[in-house]
Amino acid sequence: MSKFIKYENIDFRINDDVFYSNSVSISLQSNISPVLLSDGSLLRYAPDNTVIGSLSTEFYLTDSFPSYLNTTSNSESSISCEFAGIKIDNCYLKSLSFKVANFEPVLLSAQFDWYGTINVVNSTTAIKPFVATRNTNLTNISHSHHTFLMDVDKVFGFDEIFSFDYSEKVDLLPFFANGEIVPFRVAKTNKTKSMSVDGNYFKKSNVADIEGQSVNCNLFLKNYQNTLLNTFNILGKIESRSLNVSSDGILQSTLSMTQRLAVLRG
Amino acid sequence: MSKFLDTQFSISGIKDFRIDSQLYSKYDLVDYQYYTGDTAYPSDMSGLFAWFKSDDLNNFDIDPSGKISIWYNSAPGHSTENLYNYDASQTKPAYDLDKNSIKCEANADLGLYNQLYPNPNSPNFSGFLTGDRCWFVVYEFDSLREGKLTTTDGYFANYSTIINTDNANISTISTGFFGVYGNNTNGLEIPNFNLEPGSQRFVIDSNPTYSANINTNFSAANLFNKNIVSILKNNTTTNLRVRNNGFETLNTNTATFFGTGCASLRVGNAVNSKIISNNQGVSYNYDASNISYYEIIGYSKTPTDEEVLKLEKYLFKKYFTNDDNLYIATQDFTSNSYNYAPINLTGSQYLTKNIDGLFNKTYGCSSNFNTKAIKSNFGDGYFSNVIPNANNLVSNFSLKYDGLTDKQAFSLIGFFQNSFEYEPLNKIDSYENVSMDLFYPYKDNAKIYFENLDYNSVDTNINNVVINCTTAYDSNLDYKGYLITDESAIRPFLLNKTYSKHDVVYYNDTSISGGYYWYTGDASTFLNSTQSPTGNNSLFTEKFYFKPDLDFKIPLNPRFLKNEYEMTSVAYEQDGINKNILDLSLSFTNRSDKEAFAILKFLDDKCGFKLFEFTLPEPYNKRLTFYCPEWNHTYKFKDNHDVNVKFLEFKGHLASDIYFNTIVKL
Repeated sequence: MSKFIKYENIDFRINDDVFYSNSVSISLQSNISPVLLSDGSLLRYAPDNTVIGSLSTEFYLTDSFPSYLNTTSNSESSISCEFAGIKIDNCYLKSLSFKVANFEPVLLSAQFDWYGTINVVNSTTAIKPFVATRNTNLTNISHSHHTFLMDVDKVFGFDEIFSFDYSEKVDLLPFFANGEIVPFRVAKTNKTKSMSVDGNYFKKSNVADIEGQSVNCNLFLKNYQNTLLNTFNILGKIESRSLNVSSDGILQSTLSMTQRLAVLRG
Repeated sequence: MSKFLDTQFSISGIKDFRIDSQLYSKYDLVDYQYYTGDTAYPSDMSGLFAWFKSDDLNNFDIDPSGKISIWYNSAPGHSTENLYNYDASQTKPAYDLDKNSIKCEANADLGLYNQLYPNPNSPNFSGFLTGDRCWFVVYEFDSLREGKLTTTDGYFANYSTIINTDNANISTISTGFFGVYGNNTNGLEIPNFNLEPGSQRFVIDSNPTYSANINTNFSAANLFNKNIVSILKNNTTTNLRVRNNGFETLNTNTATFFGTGCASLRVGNAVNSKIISNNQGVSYNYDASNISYYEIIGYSKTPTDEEVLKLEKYLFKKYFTNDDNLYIATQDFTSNSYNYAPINLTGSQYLTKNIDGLFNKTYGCSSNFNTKAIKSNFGDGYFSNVIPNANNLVSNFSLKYDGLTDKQAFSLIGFFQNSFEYEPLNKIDSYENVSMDLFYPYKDNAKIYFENLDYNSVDTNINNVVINCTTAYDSNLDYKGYLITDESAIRPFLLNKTYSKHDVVYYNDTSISGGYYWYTGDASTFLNSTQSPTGNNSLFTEKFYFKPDLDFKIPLNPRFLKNEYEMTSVAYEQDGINKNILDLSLSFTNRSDKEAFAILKFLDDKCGFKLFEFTLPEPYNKRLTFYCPEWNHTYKFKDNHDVNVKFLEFKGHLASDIYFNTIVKL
């Protein structure tokens, strides 16, 4: 008879911290190419690059924001992820995003690249119990109720904010020593933060002046109990602005902004 | 104060080596000098009574067996006080041509050791029996951790004399012994000497009633190729100082240790009864007692600190060539004593010139080979390759270092810019090469000359550096080959052994069949005599059997004469025989480690001019004779290599390059 492992019986851990995750997926991508010889025979499939794994997860934050989830930090240390009897030691965070909308829990989405081997045990015998700390109290989860966005320079021009999306991402550059398939360094490049804000009608007259318009936002992510979990900041430029309405909707304005992080040398 | 001109570097921030609690961080470039003051020539300092050096063969009397029977004293006024050995030749040291030193060997199986000592019937050093004295000895030890003799309690201790200045080899007081004591890695701790397993220490003998208990203060010996030890004894204050490579390892007042003046001078693996008695009466390990001497200098005085520094600098400059140079910090550390100098035990753990352990070479490393053979044409498509020298193959390497941090890039760039500052060890070049590992499958510890550097900034703190370099001293006269000489490439063919595809063997046959062979069988096979390289059922070959990529080109440019005169039509004419001589380039991409290794070993063995047979792929399908004057190789990824070759057809016979078919018509 087939065995099934139910979601409730699987916990997901990053660096041994349990996360209240509602989905986790792992995939692998090989890089091989066929080698054909002059007599027409197929010699082999040659490895062109290492096998790169992807790990995606969505989770509710139930405690303070851990430093290892700071995508754009200067830390290049690897992160370990574990779930369903699988442990991957060489994970590298490449993006983190979440959406804050009216009276919704805030679900964070994280994507990792990983390299090398995974330590696998029989998932049916290594099930970890539904750990109590995973969600001690549903009121501890990240929630939009008290989460808010501060437009420091007052450039949004909305009368009211409906929702906003925040994301930060980097490109990962793995470097391999000769003979190795696990990188000795995974560097971060093209560090960006971006945010898209939905609001209602404009209440400023100069909303069309977006070229080079600076924007400074502080985002205060809180749980339902109004406990601050983390503060995010964007100090960038406005990318676009729009205003739209349809027959079955309401007038809605959208503002998107981006920040390219520059790290000084020396 | 730096020894370098600042203008020769395009980087800034090289730190001087200092001992005043100077902080260094990993990848710092550190400029180390011995001592910034002047040197002193030994005979310019007063009190010189012993000066044994190995500068030229006139310093020795070498017997017909090639062993040294006399080492002459070069100290002015002491030419009769020499070191001798008139015993059996096997007890005499030998002159080491490679190292320019006197080598005293020991052999446990034969119970032999080499030594030199004063002739008891001629003047010796007893005139210095009382009074101050100092010795400066430049020596080199083999490891003292590998003795073979065992006892029920474990391994015997290993020790060797550095210098013994009293009447050694007697069972009474021995107070002028300075040596090195070592213990096997898997030996037991030797209680009287606080000598834990795997350690080496200096030892100074006192009198028979005491253990040599001060040796724990010393640093281990045998760390570097050469050591300079300075033993300074003030007979009035009884102060004894010992310096090893400029670091003061001992400064104490003792009347017994290294006591009265100089009664004698014995060097080599001289046995010492005190050591034996303290080692629970057992003998020592002869096998681990080899020592080589470069220079010994003795003064009948206690020199000033400045004199010590000056004389040590004289010895450093003479024997530690290039050790005062630029080093890279291997980890964060604070330098608060001279023991952190890179020529000392502690410092060598923090400062290095070996970049192979600090920087990762990354995929994309490549090599390019090009022969300097001179083609001599004889007409009719016949020619001969004239090889101008023993190093006819120009071997260029591009070493990729991707993903460097800013600090690492700074360090690597500085290291190679500094490579021009090494003093030459030969009389041909004006600077010394850099010794470093290449990449698979080329040899480690190659001697390379830095040619140029490509730097690319990818992002903040992400840098790529490519070092382009040349190996200049690999000879085609070595049967092992040029640059692919690891054990699996030069192993001899053995019967009754399993071989698999692309295995390389050296068939040690003095006939014409001798040389390298490649196994072409697909399956791993246990071979018998008929399957040897020259056997009837052999799957070994000397031919180039590797198949190129499917997309290959074979251009043909036949040789003919085309005469075209003004106002006339073109006349086509024959240009002798052998018109269709091929000049083709083939690619072998995405090949495994083993196949790439076999291809490269094949080309390496042919040295850029030797002939071999290769069967052209369909639709040609003909076996022709070629040579390969140039090829390149790129290490793309793990188990993935590209090799590109240029083959030139040779019209002639493999066994001879003077085989002609030209018909001379009268």
